Amino acid sequence: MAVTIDNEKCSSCGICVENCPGDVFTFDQAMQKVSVARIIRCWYCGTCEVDCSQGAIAVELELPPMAVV
Amino acid sequence: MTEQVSVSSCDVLVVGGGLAGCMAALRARIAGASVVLLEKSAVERSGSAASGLDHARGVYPVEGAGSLDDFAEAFLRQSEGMGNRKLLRLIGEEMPERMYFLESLGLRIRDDRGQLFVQSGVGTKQAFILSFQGEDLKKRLNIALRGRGVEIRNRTIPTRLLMSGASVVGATLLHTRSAEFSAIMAKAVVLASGGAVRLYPTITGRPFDTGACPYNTGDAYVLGLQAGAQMVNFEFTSVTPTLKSYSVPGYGGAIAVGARLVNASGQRFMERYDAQMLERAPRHIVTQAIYQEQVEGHGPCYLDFRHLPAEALEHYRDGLRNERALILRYFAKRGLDPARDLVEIELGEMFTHNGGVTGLLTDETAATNVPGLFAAGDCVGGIGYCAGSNALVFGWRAGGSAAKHAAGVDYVYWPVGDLADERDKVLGPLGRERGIKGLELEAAVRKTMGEYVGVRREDAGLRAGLQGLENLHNIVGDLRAETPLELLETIEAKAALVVGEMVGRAALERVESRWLHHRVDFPQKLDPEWRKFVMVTGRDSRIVLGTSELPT
Repeated sequence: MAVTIDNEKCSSCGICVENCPGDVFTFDQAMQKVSVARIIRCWYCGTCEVDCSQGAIAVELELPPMAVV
Repeated sequence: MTEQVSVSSCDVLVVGGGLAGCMAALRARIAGASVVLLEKSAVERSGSAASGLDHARGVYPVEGAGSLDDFAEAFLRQSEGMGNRKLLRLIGEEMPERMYFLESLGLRIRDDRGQLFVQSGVGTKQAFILSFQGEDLKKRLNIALRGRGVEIRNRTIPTRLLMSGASVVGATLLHTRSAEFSAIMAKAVVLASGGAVRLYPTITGRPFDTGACPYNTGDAYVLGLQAGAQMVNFEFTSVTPTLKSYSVPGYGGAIAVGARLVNASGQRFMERYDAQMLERAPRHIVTQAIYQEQVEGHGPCYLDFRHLPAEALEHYRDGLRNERALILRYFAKRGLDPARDLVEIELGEMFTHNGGVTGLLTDETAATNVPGLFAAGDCVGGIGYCAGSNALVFGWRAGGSAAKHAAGVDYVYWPVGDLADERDKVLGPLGRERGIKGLELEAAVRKTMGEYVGVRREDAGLRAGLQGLENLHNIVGDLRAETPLELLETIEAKAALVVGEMVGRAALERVESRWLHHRVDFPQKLDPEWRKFVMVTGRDSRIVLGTSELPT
């Protein structure tokens, strides 16, 4: 499973950093951008994708390798 | 470290900013108390209702609704009697007012004609379930809290309740991003931090791939234990069928539209486990059936939607679109069309039962047996399963009771000395050079629970599991953290260890099989002898087991 931020769209408003229940995001002061710092804590609740004012976040369902029956 | 620990104070301290905690904080504030709300995440998107709420059980003034007694009976039955009829009745009775309150905050609960949409659900033919669009409920609660002057402290957890004799007088606190340690004195405390979700292995092996909110790590149980609170129903751990490799609620929704269960031979195997109710049999019967089919080699098991008319499937998809859109992405990713294809399922991860089943015993005022300590929501036990509504009704009651209690407290004892020791203990793992990380310890706890305290239990296995947990207890002193978030994870791992022991000990105590607790060595239900609660209490930081009569 993956959470990606489109840096072109990101306005650094920081709502994702503020709200993420898993504290997955961090604000990189040097780059002045948000990044995914601790993906292991992600629950895939998808609220970051919903709350992002710029539509910059995509939550993708990545299933473990498995056969499709 | 000789620095002073900073201490603040308030009338009512609420632990947890989910549904129960928000209602408690609002109610206490409306009563005039000064309120501080602690939240591990951020109130806007925290807890089980992070993405909102779309249905709420209660007795609403609509046609087809049952009586309060019908309501209590239906939910008590769903909990196999391990609950409290009086408190369930209260929930049914007070839910309309709680929903009207949320409506006043801007939640839309009526259609264009001003009508409430109330339906029946699993287990009862009467209409008890109000449906509505509540995606932004937590945001509205957040605005209401701030507007009324509740002091919200996000990314802040309590590490220990402070006691004066037998009474709660506050808590020590940790900020999970800065690792700042502080304390707060409070005249009353409301525990509302949910159940224990990261207790058993997940189906993918990734620790946060849970169906329920993984940030609920049983903190209220640990705090309750320290404070001497009485708690029940830890042996009734919940597990539910889920989509293959994707733990997510929604199984009930599939059955509700008429989906069937078949095994690898295409056989509708529920005919052998509950010929009358089939897939609508109580959840624990379906769970044991799926487990048995797999153990006997008839698996995998599948959900079969293929016989359903197009409208039913459309209704199912619409429900998913509104509630759990990610499930539709799952079907798309797997190239599955439920109209054509069987949908493989498996049993999800186990967790302490939410909704008022497992946790702290409370009375109708939401008071625990510890003076000054109240509790509401998923951390509460002995009420019976009534998720969402339990949090709204008893969160509200807890806030009122806490404010009333606080008004009667003249002063609160300010601690001297102990705080620095507590701080050093809490911050200890930070900067330690060698040792084990929190997630590593947690993985060992969860593996042990899965192996010895799982779907099928037995005396020797439970004892081996408890010995395993005791062994893990001995390495707690080696925990290390490189960042404040890893420090939080050491605390969460320690919580899993404590709650795991509570579950294991309760499972060992109940020498019969009932509901969600299955003992291979005692496969029968033993009424009336075991028709009672197994109670867990803390005494001098040790877990003490006992039993308690069911409420009449």
